[in-house]
Amino acid sequence: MTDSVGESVDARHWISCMEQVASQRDKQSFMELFDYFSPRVNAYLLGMGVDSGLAEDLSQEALLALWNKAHLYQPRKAAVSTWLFRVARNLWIDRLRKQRATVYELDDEYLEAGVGAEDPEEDTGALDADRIQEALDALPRNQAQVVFKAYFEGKSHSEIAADTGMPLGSVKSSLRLALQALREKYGENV
Amino acid sequence: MNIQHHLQPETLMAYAAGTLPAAMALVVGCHAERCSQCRKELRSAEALGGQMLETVAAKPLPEAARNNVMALLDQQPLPERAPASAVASTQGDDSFLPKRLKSLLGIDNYNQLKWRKLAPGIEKFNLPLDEGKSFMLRIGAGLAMPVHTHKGAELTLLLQGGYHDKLGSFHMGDVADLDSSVEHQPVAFDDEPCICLAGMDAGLRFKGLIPTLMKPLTGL
Repeated sequence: MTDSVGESVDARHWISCMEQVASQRDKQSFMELFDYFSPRVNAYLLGMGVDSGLAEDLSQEALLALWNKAHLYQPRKAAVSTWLFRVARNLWIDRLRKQRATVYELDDEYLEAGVGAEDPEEDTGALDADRIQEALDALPRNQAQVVFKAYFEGKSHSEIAADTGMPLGSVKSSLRLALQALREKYGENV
Repeated sequence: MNIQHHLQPETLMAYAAGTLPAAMALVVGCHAERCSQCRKELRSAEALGGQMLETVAAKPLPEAARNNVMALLDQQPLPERAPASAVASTQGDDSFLPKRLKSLLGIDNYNQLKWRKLAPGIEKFNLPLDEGKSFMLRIGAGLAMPVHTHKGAELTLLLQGGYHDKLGSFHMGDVADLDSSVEHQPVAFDDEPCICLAGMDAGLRFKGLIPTLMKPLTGL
């Protein structure tokens, strides 16, 4: 969905919901975010191999984090979906890959303290969701599958190679091409 | 600082996806503390994850979960400002101590570590992570590491001094992001000891008889 200037209406809508939550503690805006994003966070966690009971708990926790930290959200830095992806990933790490938690906790601290805040190069919030999607849709099917397995099935690159029968080098180049496609779309918007 | 050697995009994507073993994630996180180019790439890799969240086939939570969250909203503590970070990384002219290492090891400088001697002029410190292999090496000025390849991927971040090998010169802040096909022999610069942090998903594989014999001794 885009408006006349070609910007994604949805992405902006979620940003304004976040602003309402941050400034007014507006429950209606929060429930809109909840209804849209909680089934997606849940799908992500189930894909990462979390059992359904825990996925349900962690999805609730992720959305409550959004309620509690809405005032720290910076629209210029990341889309709401990106912010929530990071929250869900960190919850998964914290509960199921404990050893990695120290490394990632400090990432949150950085973002919240505004490291990179002055560097527009680190902004991804202005990305046009429709155009990123266009770039992803244009990926050949096997490349798209590699990206999905890496992000939404929690597979390492060698596991993906074993799963798909692709050589490890092709798995890596598929990932690079996907990121490059995204960055090129990004470049067009700046 | 001018960083010449960066992480591969697919390594940053694995970090964004949360799938790197702790030993390797630590190196990525430490390098990103100092490298805005890799931070920028990492933010894009996370944006890709966010976009996929938009398009994944939704799996709704039960109605009870929705009611539960609604009921919890009023019980949440009032929002707090972002806490100022207690630990900052130390970025001097001749040494870089990332915040993550300070926080994990509780140190202010590298002399506080209990370095274990591997060979004359070469010392090692094992980090308390058992997901993958995580260790630091301190190599005396001008000394060489044995030639080795890796069973899997290896990330090495330069924290003090530097080394050169056939891939080039690596200075403080640079990272070597290598896969199992690379055989190399880092030699520390002549003017000062080199300290580096390595993270790998499997052990090193030394080449030739003598290094093979050394392997049980060095514990690499």
